[in-house]
Amino acid sequence: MKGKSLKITDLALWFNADRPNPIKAIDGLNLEIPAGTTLALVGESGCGKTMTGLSIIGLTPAAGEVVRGSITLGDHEVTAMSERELSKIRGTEVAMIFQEPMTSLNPLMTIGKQLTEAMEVQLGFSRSRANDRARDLLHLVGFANPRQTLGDYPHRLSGGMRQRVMIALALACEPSLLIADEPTTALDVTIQAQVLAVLRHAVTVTGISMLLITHDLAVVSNIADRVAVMYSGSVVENATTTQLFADPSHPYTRGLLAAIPTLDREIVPLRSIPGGVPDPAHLPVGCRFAPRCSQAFEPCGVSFPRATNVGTDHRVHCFLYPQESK
Amino acid sequence: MSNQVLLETRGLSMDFPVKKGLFQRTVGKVRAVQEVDLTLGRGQTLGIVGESGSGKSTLARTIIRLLTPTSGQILLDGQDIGSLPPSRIDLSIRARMQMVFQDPYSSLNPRQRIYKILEEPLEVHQPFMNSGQRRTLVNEVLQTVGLDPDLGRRFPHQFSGGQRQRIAIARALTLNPDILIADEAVSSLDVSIQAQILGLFEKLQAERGLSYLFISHDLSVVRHISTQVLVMYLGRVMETAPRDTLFTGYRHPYTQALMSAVPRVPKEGVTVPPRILLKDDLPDPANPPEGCVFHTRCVYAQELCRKVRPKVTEIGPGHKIACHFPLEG
Amino acid sequence: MNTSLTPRLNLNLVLGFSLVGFLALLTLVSFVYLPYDVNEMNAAARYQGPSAGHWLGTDNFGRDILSRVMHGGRTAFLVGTLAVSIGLFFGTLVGGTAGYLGGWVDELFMRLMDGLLAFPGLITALIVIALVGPGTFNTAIAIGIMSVPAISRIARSGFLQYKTIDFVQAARTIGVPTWQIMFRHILPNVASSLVIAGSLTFGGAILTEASLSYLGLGVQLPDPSWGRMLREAQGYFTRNPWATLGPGIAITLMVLGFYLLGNGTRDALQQKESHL
Ligand SMILES: Nc1ncnc2c1ncn2[C@@H]1O[C@H](COP(=O)(O)OP(=O)(O)O)[C@@H](O)[C@H]1O
Ligand SMILES: Nc1ncnc2c1ncn2[C@@H]1O[C@H](COP(=O)(O)OP(=O)(O)O)[C@@H](O)[C@H]1O
Ligand code: SF4
Ligand SMILES: [Mg+2]
Ligand SMILES: [Mg+2]
Repeated sequence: MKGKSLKITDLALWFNADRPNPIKAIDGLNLEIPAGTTLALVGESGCGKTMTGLSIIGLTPAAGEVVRGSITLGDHEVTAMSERELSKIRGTEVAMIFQEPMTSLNPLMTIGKQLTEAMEVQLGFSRSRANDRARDLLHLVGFANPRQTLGDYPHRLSGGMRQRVMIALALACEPSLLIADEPTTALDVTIQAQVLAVLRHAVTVTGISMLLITHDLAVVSNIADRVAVMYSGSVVENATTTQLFADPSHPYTRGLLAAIPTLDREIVPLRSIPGGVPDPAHLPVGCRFAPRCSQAFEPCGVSFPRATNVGTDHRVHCFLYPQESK
Repeated sequence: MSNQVLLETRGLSMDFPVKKGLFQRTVGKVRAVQEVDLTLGRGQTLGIVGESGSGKSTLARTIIRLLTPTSGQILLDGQDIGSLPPSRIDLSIRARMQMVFQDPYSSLNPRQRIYKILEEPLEVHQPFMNSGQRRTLVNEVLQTVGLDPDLGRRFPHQFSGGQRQRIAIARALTLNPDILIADEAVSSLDVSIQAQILGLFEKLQAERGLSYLFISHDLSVVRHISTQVLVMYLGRVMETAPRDTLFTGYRHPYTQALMSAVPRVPKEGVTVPPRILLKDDLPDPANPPEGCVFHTRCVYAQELCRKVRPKVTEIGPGHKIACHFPLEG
Repeated sequence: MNTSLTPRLNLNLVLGFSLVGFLALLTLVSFVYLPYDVNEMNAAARYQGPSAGHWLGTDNFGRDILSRVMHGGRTAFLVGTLAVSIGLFFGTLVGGTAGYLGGWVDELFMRLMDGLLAFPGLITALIVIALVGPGTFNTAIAIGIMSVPAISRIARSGFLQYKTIDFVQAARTIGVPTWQIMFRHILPNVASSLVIAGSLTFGGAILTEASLSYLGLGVQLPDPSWGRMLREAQGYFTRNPWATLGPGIAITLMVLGFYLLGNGTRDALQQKESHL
């Protein structure tokens, strides 16, 4: 199998770390992706999902600083790598695709050129070998006529097609981990379904690991092996996909599920979560969800809850569950 | 009283000229809305769904007369406001229909305080009202949407997306309209905030008997809030029915494809229907396909579909569909 | 929101502000104190270089150049302010209406502006002066008219951009009258780019005034004007090259100052916007 494992331990990424109230975009994040599996990272906007993805690939904004923790990809310690070392593993070890397919492609280069260039530079492929692989990749992501698509310019493609090209581009240099940040958020449901199907197919065929970032709990069920629910800079619940939907345990996860209208449930008034996400420059002490949680009690405002195993392979950070001593 | 028709369109069409070249010559037209018939009853919610580019926003903008329709009628309580020239759309018509937009960031003037934003409709419509009365009304409407009246002194950028959408709703409510058109009004919000705003819409309907034209690309949201649903594709009505009929007994292949594409939260005892992956994207609306506009992507299309456009026909109570080969009922 | 990064020091703004402020101060001082009377001739002190008594020297009539430069600042600021006001007023009116209403109004107004723009700016001004005659006010009017096309373009593109934005659409659905939408909703949002344009126009206006006066067509005797001082100084350049220094530097600093101010304002606004 091509995929490698990813392990993030107690990661903290702060902005303006040297000032009085640093913006704690990520604080105390733990995450693990076993080799060759897909983990979905789910949470509302501003909770730090994109920053998590960017930290793994070493592309966080200049004002952001990793103040603690480690990110281990296979046997690389990403947080300790220099910019030179990082640029060597980008594409070949870890690749990332973004929400906006329109701005991620160079409008002045053909699709073929953009695909082969990466392979020629990073893998030292010859022109013809790169071309062959580019065709295979386009076929993998569902283009019926790859030869023609190779010669097309990005503006000739629709949003869904561009996003599929982005997937091909990300896979070009055979990374062991693919990070997909909201890859279908800008697309229509019908096109989203196409792109998700392609993504799942491509990941299965190549056997790589994937971190799928999304704000939509509903999209993860068909594609992810595991789900990590993120809130305010850290993971609050982490389980296999089946477990998570069968037995959502953290009040935030439950709140999210109750707030989503679905096609299957009876139509009852939605339960919304009161208030909004905390300002990352002034995170609440203790459990960060406590100010919005209907079940909060004394310990919640005091310290950050540790992980509790509530099932096989199912961990929750919440005082409603017995805190295991270390 | 609940079946009283408040708003109706008949054969409503809206074309945009396509201009090209140095001299901006008109070389064709985008048929954004074509021959749409719809009915909105008092106190009801008509949900409008379809992929982006299917003409939902254009339909909304035409009905509220931001645009002048190319042809067709817009009947508000029986009066045709579709054929009136823009200058004849007077305040009494404006006051009856208001709109809430998708993007809570561009729908509020960044240089006006909230109080000013909410006061303006009153200034325009009730020039003789004194400022004390206006203040009372603005404060009331802020409370109605769940905001503290003290926040009126702030500027829009000091609010979150959800709060801004509440302000936009408040602005629409100041004139006490009968119809509120919500164009993707919850689409850019996070799910927990989306639930809050949907709750607000429901509360307002219950309290004030408002009627909604609720546009969304999200079928789950539309199912949640609507009493009637209309499915659009490439400017045309594909299927329309009462909510439950549509979601459990849809007969149009396009509705089926849309439904099957919706991502599902797994639930015990529910088997999700197999996906029908639509190939490609929406065709160019400046060049809609002949025959059934959906035939290029329809898995059931036959020769007839490529040649003859299916008429909208009633196949059940309130259930209309435009297809030569409806799915088994 | 919470992105409270300290703004970069905006050198353009600081420098522009200092230059313009310095010249404005000199001009203000001229109302209460001048080293010498501006028109006081002194046959004994003609063609002098800079000295303790005459910091910038004297001219061909022995008049004190520093005093004349300070007094000339009044003319420069008057002409600039007047010209920019005319340019902003008509430019915004024409461009704003064209952009917001579109259609044939847009077509007509913008063709008119194109026509005006087809003449080199100075020629437009010359024609206007030929029609109304020279003088300080007429110069200002000529320069103002000259700047209308450029400002109207900026106003047009701003109004065009905002006319489709949701809050303007919302105002239309409420029934807010067109003029009120244009002036209450759109204008405040395009004002910043107009202010920048105005500042750049100010620099240009000073330069044009100097050129016109240099040609003898602008500001007339006895008002001292930097442009005319420069022309006069050229006539006796060989006898006293220092006489060009005062008016030359004043014009350069003023033009540069407003240029930096305009660019600095733009940078500041862009930075602020990227923070919102
Ligand atoms: N350049 C930056 N400077 C300061 N704060 C930032 C910057 N970029 C992101 N943040 C902060 O990081 C937090 C997490 O952002 P992000 O990872 O983009 O969230 P998500 O992807 O979950 O929506 C946000 O609250 C935001 O305020
Ligand atoms: N002002 C306009 N000028 C030209 N074409 C337009 C204009 N507004 C919308 N359209 C076109 O009309 C079609 C329908 O658009 P729209 O009503 O926005 O659809 P939806 O809201 O369903 O996404 C699209 O093809 C769009 O490009
Ligand atoms: S008319 Fe034909 S092409 Fe159109 S939806 Fe029905 S079966 Fe499909
Ligand atoms: Mg993000
Ligand atoms: Mg729309």
